[in-house]
Amino acid sequence: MAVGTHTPTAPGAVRRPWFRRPRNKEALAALLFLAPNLIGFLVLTLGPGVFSLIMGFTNWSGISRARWVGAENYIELVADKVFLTALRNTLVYTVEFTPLVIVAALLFALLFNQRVWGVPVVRLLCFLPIVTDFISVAFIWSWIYHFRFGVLNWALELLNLPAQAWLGDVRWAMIALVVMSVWRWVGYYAIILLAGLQGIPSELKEAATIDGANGRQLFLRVTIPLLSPALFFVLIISISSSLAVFEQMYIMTRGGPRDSTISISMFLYQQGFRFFKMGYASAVAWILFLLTFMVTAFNWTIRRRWVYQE
Amino acid sequence: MQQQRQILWQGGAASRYRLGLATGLLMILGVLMAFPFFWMLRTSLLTETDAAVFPPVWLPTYLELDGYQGVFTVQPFGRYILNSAFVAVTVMVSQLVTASLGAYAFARLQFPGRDKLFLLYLATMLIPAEVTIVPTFVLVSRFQMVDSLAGLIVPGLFSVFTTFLLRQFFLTIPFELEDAAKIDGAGYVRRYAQIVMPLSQPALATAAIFIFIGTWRSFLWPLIIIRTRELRTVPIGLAAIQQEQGHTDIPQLMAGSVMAIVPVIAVFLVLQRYYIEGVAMSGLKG
Repeated sequence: MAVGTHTPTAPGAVRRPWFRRPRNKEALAALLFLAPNLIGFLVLTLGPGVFSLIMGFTNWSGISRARWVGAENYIELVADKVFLTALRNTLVYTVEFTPLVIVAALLFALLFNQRVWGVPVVRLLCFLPIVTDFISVAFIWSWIYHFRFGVLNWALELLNLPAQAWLGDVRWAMIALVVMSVWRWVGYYAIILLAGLQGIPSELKEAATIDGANGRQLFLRVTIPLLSPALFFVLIISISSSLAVFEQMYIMTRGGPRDSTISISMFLYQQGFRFFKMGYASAVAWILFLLTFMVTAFNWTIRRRWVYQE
Repeated sequence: MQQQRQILWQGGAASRYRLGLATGLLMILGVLMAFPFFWMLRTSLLTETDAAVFPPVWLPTYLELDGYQGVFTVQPFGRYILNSAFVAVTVMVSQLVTASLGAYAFARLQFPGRDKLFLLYLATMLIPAEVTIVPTFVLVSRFQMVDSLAGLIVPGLFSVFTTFLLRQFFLTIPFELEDAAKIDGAGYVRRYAQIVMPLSQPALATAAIFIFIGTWRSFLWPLIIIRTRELRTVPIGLAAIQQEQGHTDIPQLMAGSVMAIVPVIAVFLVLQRYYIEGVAMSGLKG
């Protein structure tokens, strides 16, 4: 930082110490204000990021001395069956969760935007799952999904449908987790979309109505295009959070049955904190970062095709 | 907000029918959202044998508090609540201090390299938490803070996101106010403490509730750091109820969940306006 650099003073001018000069005084104040924040940034964010990038190229166990192994971790990962399963599961989760949560959130947002009785109460209800800690959510839903005493199987029985072992069946475990996650997060996305809906000037809709647009045309040609920036944001957030999915699997299925719900983050946790393969886990973390980065970058490049810009 | 609310499918003879349809749909969705909470509360008030019947009973015939008592006898649950509250409040206060000081420098002061440094901050927001968890663990263990509440607090002392949130708000405060104070001889510290901070109460409240709720419900980090029973936070303690018993006492788990949720919901109800505005605001930024 250029705080201490010597600036030439005109001959004859009063020489003040550098920190007394008006411009430097502000920079010095800024540095002091920034110091605790900057230390935190270097020690808790940037430092760990760089450190983990380097560790990804070593065989470090957390205790022993790290040895440089080049790209070995990454090569090993590509052939690691469990990792590939985790990668596949994470993508499946993302592909199922993202459209479901966005459609549900859009439905809620459209309803919240109407003069309908009960909106404040339902909006509040939508927020409760978000602020609830994950373990409680997992307990509640494990109990709802319970094979013998679960209320879901009871409801199915009333409809003469067969009971399922929701969390214990390879066919159902992932979708059961997805449904629970949609319940948990829908309010968050709905509020973002609602803010977008409320930002649409009502004149535009009035103008379209005068021109003879019917309800469906109004929705598809006016509402959706004008909502597209909010939809874009919601898409980015839901994809990047799905790619990092962890707690659902960790507490409810332990990655089972038969590895059908193990996710990348869970694999990372196991490698790093169960088997103490810290170098290997760091490589996993960076693959996760690259994956998130690539998907986000891809979305930004196709953004212009469908997102309305003023 | 109120005036802008409007009927989406306007006009036409069918509008009343549509309004009825919308109300009905909203009610159904509301019931779906509320049902898991209702089911948790209902199960927490049953005895263990009453919980395990099929078809299930809808409401307990009399209030059974075995589950709630059980939570406190098998685990030091009161201690867990205290630990969680202590960690969440400490993190909240210290993170607000570091973030607001930094945000003041970024938003209101000139210094060389300011915008480049801020861009670097923003870039690190893309790094998922999983990337930094291993190195942060190493750091915390070097300072002998594994298995201590300090180990839970330290990573929360700073956050790029909170700094960003406050900086954006600080930028909206008119600079004339500070100029006037400057003429009156107020230094940077007084301008920060007596002008910018008091005017930023809504943003500080938003940040505070985000931090509190985020810290209260955090799971992975305490799971890695805490080993001693007495130092557990609520989520870790809850998970332990399930893992440490030979069998799963469902009403007890539900009672524990109810007690874990109540403090957060209380904070949320008091500050909900700020929370909802904060979420809505984050969307408009994107």
